[in-house]
Amino acid sequence: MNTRADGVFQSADEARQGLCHLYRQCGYRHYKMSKFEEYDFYAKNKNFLVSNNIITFTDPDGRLMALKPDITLSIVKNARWQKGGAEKVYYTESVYRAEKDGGEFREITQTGLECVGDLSLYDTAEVLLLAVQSLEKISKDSLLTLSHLGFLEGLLDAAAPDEQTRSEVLRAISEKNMPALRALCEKKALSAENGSRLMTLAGLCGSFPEAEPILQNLNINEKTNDALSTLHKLYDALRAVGAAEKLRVDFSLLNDMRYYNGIVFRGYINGVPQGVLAGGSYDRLLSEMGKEPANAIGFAIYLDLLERLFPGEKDDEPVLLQYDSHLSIGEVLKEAQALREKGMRVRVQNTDEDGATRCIRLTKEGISDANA
Amino acid sequence: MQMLNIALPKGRLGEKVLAMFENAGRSCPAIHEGGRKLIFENEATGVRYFWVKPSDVAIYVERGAADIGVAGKDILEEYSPDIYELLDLGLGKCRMCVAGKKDFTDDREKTLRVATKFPHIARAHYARQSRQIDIIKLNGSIEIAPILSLSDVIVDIVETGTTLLENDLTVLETILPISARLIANKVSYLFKNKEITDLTKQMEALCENRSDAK
Repeated sequence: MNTRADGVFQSADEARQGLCHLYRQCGYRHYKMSKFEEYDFYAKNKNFLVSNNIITFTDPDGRLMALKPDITLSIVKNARWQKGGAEKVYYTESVYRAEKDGGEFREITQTGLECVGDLSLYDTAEVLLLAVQSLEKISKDSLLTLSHLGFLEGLLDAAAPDEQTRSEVLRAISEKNMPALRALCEKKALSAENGSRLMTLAGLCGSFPEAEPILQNLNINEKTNDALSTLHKLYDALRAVGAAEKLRVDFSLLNDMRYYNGIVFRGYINGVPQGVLAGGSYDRLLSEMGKEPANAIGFAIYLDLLERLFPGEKDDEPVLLQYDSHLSIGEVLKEAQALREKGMRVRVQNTDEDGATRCIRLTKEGISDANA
Repeated sequence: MQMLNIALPKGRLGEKVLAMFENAGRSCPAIHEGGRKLIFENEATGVRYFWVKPSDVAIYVERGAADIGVAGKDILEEYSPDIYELLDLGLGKCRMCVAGKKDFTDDREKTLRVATKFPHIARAHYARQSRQIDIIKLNGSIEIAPILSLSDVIVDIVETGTTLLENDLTVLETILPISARLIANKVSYLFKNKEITDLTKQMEALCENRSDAK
């Protein structure tokens, strides 16, 4: 691997290997899975999936199978841990899905990690640190946005909106849509006080020291207090290892609250118009799947979004070795081999060709380099 | 300072929006010079403007070719792009409506035939009413559909209602009010946070002054 001096990856392949190496160093086990699972498994948990469009087919026994649209579900299903411990795994896999409803199916390569079991705040901090480090290895110009769903839930509890309003509020926050929140206040669906709190929360985007006094003002109940204290501890932990500069607190980042709880985060690279890393803690998925109560956190990096970021491996043009057809094949093979041993890429044919960057001729008289 | 790439919607609305940006201190003399240039830059104020088809603004912003842009609420509702909707500029005001012939009476026994340029909005509206409909996607001259019995009703933008009136059509229901919105790419918002939030605040102040003046 010829990683640059500053440790930034040069290609998608290198990124994949380097990220796996990073996770392995932290004691994560490699998780390999089959390309498909029974469709029923995904259908039961379909709200957890990014997209409901799944490629299905029937296996020889007549069972309906699905090309895997997601990896987290399979890892959670198979996770085993001892009391007080945790299963920590990393993976590089392809998933198959349509990004938007009605979009075309795509193969998406993702690398990521999951941590399932009896977790402590240490494990959360470690996962966040790995997320920051992963991004830094992809580009120095990266940021990780962090949100805590508990804080938002605390404010929503206080506002106690009906279901319709709740979903409108969530959508407005995810769009930082102040006019929509203001309209809800005007309709009296939200009280002025709760509305202004939610607007402040939606407008937030800054480092933790910038965000903290604002969050302190919004700290109105036990849920918000717990969330704020968790964010504080995580910030302190990351600052201790010099990784807090890359953090931005932003509550427009929402994941489905039926599965996710606690912190959620997303990683961005300047120049890539979408988030390249997505993660969060999803304790609720475990209970939804009928597992015993425990904690889970993880993230995935979408490697295919990075393809435009890397300069691309410059394929050095092979040298053309053009041989005289009177020569024996053995001799040609030998000469070609000799050139390759000198470190050249050599392509062999017996006719001349226009456009070859460098052409070496092999005749009875010997070898002649046209460019030399 | 980082340059802000701004997608402007071509047409009358775009001219008004440009004037607002210029009043907010983001002038760009080059854009008034005419000619065939497509992109106009002013390093002094840190902006790069370009004109695109109004319905494409959201695509440029969602995919990051533009950091911010101005798009109608109709387009945002129809395509639900993954962007931030920062401000209601209060320009280009109109309504998304259901319209039909003056003597139209809804017969719930039959599937309602709806002609529209906005199939997603129409489908969502009738789904809320648990109503089965047949969408007829048209690209223009929607008003003619009910007259020729191509559809029972139309879902379309109504500004003054004159076109409807001249064709013996009437508004049956308002689905949502429409106006121009300032939108931003989510990644740009993060990396060019100061530039975008400053500009948003200045634009907001302009909107407030205008409504005070009324």
